[in-house]
Amino acid sequence: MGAPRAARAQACCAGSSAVTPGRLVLHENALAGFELRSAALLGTYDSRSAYHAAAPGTGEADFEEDVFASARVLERGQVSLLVPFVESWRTSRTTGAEFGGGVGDVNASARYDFTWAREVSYLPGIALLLGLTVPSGRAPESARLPLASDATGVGAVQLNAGLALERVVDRWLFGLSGLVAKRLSRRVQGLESDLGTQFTLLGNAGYVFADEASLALAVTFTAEGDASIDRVEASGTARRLLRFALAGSLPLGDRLRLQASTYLDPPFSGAGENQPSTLGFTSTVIGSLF
Amino acid sequence: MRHSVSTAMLALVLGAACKTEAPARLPLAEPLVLAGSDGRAHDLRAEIARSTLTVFVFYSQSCPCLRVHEPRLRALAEAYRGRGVSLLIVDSEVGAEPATDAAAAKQRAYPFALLTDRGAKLAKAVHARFATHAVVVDASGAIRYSGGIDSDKNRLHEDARPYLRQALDEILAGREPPVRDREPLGCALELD
Repeated sequence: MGAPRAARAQACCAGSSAVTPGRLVLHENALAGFELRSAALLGTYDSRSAYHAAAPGTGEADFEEDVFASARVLERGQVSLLVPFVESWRTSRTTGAEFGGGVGDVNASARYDFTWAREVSYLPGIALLLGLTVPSGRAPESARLPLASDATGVGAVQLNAGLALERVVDRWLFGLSGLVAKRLSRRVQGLESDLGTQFTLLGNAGYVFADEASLALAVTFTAEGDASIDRVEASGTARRLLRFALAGSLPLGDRLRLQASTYLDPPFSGAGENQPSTLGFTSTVIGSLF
Repeated sequence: MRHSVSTAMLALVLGAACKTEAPARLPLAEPLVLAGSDGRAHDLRAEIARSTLTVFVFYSQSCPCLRVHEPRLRALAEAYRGRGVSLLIVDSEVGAEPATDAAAAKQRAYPFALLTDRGAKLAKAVHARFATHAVVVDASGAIRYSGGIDSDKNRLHEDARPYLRQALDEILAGREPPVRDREPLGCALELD
């Protein structure tokens, strides 16, 4: 005899997109979206993971507007393109305030779902993720403003690969994704510069309400090794960051959905390394075709 | 277990590379008898031979897309009953049980039988992978239409394109449906 089944409504189609806005859900063939992102600096984690609140007289606010589109190219395969526009406002007691920005690093990505969530009872949804980020933004070393608020990119080509697992239980959606990012070498002021390989782990749990509205909690842990300059490892340059996010998705009919999220890099020691701690918000509007 | 999982993965990878099309005929090599929510055992070969057309619609207990289409299915069953069309709902999902399906059919006030397809034999035979997938079979066993009920997903619109109704009208008028298959927009069926 089979196990008793859930009697309540499952997540039909859109619930899984709360955490990954540009993702096409089941039956969607294409989408286009616009995301607004803003973040305020709370402090920084130093190379020993100690947290330091932003000093009096200093501050930073970051803004980003992303235009993205996705298309289904295979029944189980989709490709996406994201063009970011990045701005920063920074102030310090010595240099005063400045504002800069421009086009960020353009990202192209692909997703292939070997299995969809709930398709096979003994397997989760399994997807392969691939990505390419090109250094279309201004690299930090090319910034012209004293606080580098006009730096809008990493400066290196980035290749990503990862695996995403997804499970549906009644109205709950659980996801776990792992990504590896390799940044290619580049020359900075005549020296070969390599950023460390970056690893990202994203876990999320979401609940799908009636009418496909959904709410999700996500935790992201990102770590990367020491950078190297002219093939010599620069000790103390490794980075690490823990981020918590609460995301929601609200469908407005079949072809339009609104999404929003807030995220926080916990402002205490041990939660990061060589990274800023921020509190941020995103709001997204997505139109889709199926 | 490891072997069966890897075999299943390989099959999914290979199978997913191209979209599977419905077979031209209902490939029932052996008699298939499914328990119905009406308390009867439904011998599909016999039932198909008795009706001008038989419509199978695949069911998922928890799928909102199927749920919102139920009024349209009731209306369709009523409209075509006198024209020799028999509508049957089929539960092929893992864990499908006649008692549970009978209770669900009663609770949903289905005027048609909900058949329990243990082992998903019928779903796999006609390549049904989504709830709301409708398969129209004529008395000879030929599959005349395979696809969505209409162009709606989990919200109903008055201007939805009624694919299943159009197919039934065309076939009953002695013509082929303009499109033989349309993507069904329901939830993924849990068949294994």
